[in-house]
Amino acid sequence: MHKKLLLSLAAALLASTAAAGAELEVATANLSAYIDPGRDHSNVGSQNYVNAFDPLIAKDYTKPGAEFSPAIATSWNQVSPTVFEVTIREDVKFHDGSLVTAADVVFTYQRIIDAATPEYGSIKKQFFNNFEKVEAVDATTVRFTTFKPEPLFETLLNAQQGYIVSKAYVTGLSGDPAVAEVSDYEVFALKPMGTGPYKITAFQPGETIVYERFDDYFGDKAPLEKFELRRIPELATRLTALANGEVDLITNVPPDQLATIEGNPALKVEGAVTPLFHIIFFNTQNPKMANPKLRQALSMAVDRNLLNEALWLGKAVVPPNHTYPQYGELYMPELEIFEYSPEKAKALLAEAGYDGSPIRFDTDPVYYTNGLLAAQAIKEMWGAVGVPMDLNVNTKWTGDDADMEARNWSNPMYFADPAGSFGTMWSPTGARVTGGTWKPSEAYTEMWERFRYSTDIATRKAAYAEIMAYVKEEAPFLVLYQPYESYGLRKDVSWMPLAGHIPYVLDFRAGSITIE
Amino acid sequence: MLEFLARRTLAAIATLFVVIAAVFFATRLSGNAMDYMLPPGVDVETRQLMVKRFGLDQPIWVQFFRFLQGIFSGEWGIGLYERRSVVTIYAERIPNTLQLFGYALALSVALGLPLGVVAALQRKNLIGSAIMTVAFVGYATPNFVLAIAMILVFSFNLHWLPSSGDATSLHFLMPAIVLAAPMLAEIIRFARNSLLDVMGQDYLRTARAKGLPERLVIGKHALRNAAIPVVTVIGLQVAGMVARCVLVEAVFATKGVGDLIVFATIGRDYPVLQFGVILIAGLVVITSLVVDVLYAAIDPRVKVTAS
Repeated sequence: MHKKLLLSLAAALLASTAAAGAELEVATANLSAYIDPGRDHSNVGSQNYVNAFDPLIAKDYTKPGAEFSPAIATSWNQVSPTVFEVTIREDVKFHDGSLVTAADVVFTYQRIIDAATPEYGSIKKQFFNNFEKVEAVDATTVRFTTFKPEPLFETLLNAQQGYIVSKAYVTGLSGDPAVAEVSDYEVFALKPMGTGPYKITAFQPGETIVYERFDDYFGDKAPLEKFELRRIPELATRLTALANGEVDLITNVPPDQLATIEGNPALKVEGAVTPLFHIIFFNTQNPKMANPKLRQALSMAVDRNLLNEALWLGKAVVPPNHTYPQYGELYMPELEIFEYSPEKAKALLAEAGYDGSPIRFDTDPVYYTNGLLAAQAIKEMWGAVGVPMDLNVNTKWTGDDADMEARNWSNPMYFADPAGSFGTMWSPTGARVTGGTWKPSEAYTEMWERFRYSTDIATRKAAYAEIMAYVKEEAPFLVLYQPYESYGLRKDVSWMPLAGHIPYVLDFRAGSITIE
Repeated sequence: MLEFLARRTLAAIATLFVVIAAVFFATRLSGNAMDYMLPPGVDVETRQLMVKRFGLDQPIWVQFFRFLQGIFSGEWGIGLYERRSVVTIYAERIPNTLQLFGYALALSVALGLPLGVVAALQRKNLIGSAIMTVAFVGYATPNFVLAIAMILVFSFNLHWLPSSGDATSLHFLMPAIVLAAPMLAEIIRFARNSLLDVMGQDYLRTARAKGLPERLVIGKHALRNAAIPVVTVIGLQVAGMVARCVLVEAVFATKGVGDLIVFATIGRDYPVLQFGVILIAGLVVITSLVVDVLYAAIDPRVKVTAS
């Protein structure tokens, strides 16, 4: 018995010693040119932040739903319908050793609310448009005031864009150290600093980010001594670097390369369905596309399951509407708003008086995995119901152009609520409406307001069901699928993408990774 | 000589101005940087604010004038993505590219000249044919094919060489070979042909007739005369190598100028792209000038004059 115990202790000691010195090399397809959680909502940026920064409110990222827990905030409470107060820990340190204070929290949010740069302004619109002001009540208490009651308070305080940054550090980076200048934010994006379990010790924009364990972290200590994200854009080189032992983990492995990795006894594949939709959308304000029956027909002509089988080996998820399991109680798979029916599509085209002229479909050649292949397949599907497609392959974003007819796009989940995905794209203030390709009715705006700001979950569910029914009739878009994102890694590395994160997050915090 | 240099310098400046103008207008005609820089989904107002912030809402002639003003005042611009001086951005990348160039150039010249000579001297036997076959294959194989093939063989299968990065000199070996391959092939071909041309000349027969050993006939009389077209080829190939490094650096993930230019082109990062193209154009112009001057050093019959 004692011998067994001693052996176990020795094994545990060895394991902890191994982990203590563990390092990881990660090859990514792309890497950001800047690092600032507050101004970034790009897919490539999502890789950078979770390890080096902290939100006020954390959540259990192992589950798709929302189970919130304290992070920098120890507690939070609603003091009135539009006022929340948050108490922060007193022992949280930034990577320069200074303590996090209420002033830092105010600064973090206020630079976004004040739209200190156009990028912060963009984040404000998508995340914090309902936030009126943030004030320090005392050294550890922060008061958030919203314009309307905010049902998503915890969700929003968990978002990457609200990761806390140091006021003194940022304002001291250029010019007058007492004043926040635009140049301060730009220098910060090249010399980022947060509170997370790893500190960023080297950053070459677009090429490498080096993270090292931060020993004064207030939470569970980082399991890795050091890790590096390195951009290797060429897939063949990335795969070889993994097979050759030059890197331990690679991102963006397309489905047709999974067998190559699985065939190597030293390697394995991990993956997950990403909370991001690949969609096609129509310019409803282009007279050619104005008839909803035409748009319904074009959506009904697309066999999404066949695309999934052919392009994603059946690993992607074909959703019934614009909904993710991460929405918790608001996840409503029972709402079926998309249908595959070539016969109905033909009938709708006849009703719409479609004249047989080609419809232009725009796609970037490489931006979306399988994007071009899907467009080529959809061309055949449209052709089968009598609609010729003029496939326009171009790297330019044409989504806001008046002459755009149809194109592909992605709708990522920026935070776990329909407002954080459908809302940022399709709400009355979303990108498609402000971009001019969709003009929903006033009734829709009323539905949206009811959905967005109601604090009653049943009311929100009913309103979202109404919104989905409206979308079905209007058919401004068709959700194709949630892609399956795959990673290649060494067999002795235990890591996988977690269901509770937004897309593409590389979480190497305690409990997320072990190296044998 | 001085007059020649002055005229060539003026011509180089004119060439650079044409390049600057061409790259300035061509990059802007190819699309708006903000369409590539901001993620899909950013609202129209933010896009417009960003366009204004970088002065891209101004008439293109105004932008061009400001750009020229910047060049004359030493302000080469700020990268749209990294928001720091393009000079700083390039300064981080140039050492890697120079290292790659150095290895490739050394490899091409050190192997190309002797192999060309051997191919000429052994032209009627198997060795000569084998060298020329290798040279032909090296010249005809696209560098991206050679790069992927080398990665597959030496990294993926044999695990002898690192496939990517720039941590050690060994990391530069495969990229340097790929970069050197067409130049090596060209030098072999030209060295061989030009040596064969020279070997039929009267002055070599005279050299042999006066009893000089063959080593001196080839080494002193033939090679020196055969070197002139070879120098021209090396000059031209250096310019071509700059273009090839764009692809080679991308495949081998070497953080150099070529990789940066690919990134800037895809993202329409105008200031970074402009500076890169001007840098390359400058290098090509200087190389041409150096080649012209070298002519005189190699062949005293060539007079470097203004005409």
